[in-house]
Amino acid sequence: MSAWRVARVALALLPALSPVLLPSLAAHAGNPVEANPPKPGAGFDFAPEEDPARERFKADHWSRGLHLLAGLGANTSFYRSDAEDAPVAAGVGWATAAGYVFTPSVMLEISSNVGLRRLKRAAIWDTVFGPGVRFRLPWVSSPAHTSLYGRAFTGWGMEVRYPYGSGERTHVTGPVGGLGGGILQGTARGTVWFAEVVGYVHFFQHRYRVQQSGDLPSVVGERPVVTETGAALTVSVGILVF
Amino acid sequence: MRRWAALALLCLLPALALGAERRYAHIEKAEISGLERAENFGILYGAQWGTYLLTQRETIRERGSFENWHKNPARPHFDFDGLSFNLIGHSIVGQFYYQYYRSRGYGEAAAFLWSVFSSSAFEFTIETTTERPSFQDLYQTPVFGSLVGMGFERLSLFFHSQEIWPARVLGYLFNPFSLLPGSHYGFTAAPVPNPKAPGVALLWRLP
Repeated sequence: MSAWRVARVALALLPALSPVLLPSLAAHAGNPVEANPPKPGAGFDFAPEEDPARERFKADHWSRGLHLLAGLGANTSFYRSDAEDAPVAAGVGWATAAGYVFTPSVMLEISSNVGLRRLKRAAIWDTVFGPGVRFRLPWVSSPAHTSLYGRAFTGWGMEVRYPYGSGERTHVTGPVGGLGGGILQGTARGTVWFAEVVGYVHFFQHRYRVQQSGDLPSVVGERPVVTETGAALTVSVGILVF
Repeated sequence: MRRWAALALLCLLPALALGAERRYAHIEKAEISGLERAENFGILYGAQWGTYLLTQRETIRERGSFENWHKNPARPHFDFDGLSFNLIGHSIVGQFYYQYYRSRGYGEAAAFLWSVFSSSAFEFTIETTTERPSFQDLYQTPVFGSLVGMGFERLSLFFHSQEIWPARVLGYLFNPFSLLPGSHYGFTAAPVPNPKAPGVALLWRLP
């Protein structure tokens, strides 16, 4: 069934749905010629602007619950052994972490680091992610509304190399382990910023040659990698999204 | 080059929204019942199945099977998709999940959490017809999607706050769910038939 045919069927069904849709629309839309228009906000069940009972996440006192951090930054990576290209690459990237704070100082999280780097003969798209822990360092003195934290994570990484002028790409995968630290600082408006440095080691175990045909990637070759290791250093600055 | 431009657009466009007027805002629902949550999830789940069946007919015909559908959920892996599909495609799909739940009145954290559930439901019970669940998709779709969705939601509200037709159209393009009946934004849109003349007028009203 073509998209156009689907659209025509949907249009034909609209009148049948109108008893369902129109009362709801009318409840919110109002009519400019109405003698007694509904009160502002009618039809909505407002949440309070600021719930005083709700604890806010502060740099020096993490609130219990689900939180998301996101930041942008730069990264550089170093390769050991049979890398067929330059031993060092640099580029930009971004870091995210979704986690749950159990105590005011500890967050269990799943984090991700994405790096986009350039080598002499290839572009690199590097993704690592996995579970980890982020913990405040309350014994290290810091200014008001500021705290230092450390983090550790493990997981899996996939580095994709796009050689220039080639239709194929190479996916190199393996386990990852990393450590990092950073600073959290809250602003007067309540936004919490972070700046962090993270280093991780990527133990490459498998190398796949992948060709793309349309939407579908197909693996055309695979061999284990036994000697190659990559290490990366990332610097990110971002905010606590919620 | 095009994919870098698309990535830059995803990241930079929401910055425009810093100038949005406060009266155009999301209105969080005070309480969402269990039945409403199930209904919202169910509607999106149905839409996921519908979209998958309509857009992946060729792939389902070539590689789909009932055996895949019940065996693949236990075999998640790291997929071999390219950058544009994994980062851009999944972020765009994820932002639809996020914006859908926001339009139903969910707060940012709740909309993110339900995007995680919807994304997981797709990976483990729909797409398994043709492929194994992907760890990258399980993380990137809701996380990157919610971040893009937050930016696009603000951008949409900024365009609506301009209160001119072309900007309204952009407002709906960046957040089509603000058109849904009962969307929890500071404005509503509804076609109002005029009994005295042929045609339908589209009107906006702030609460």
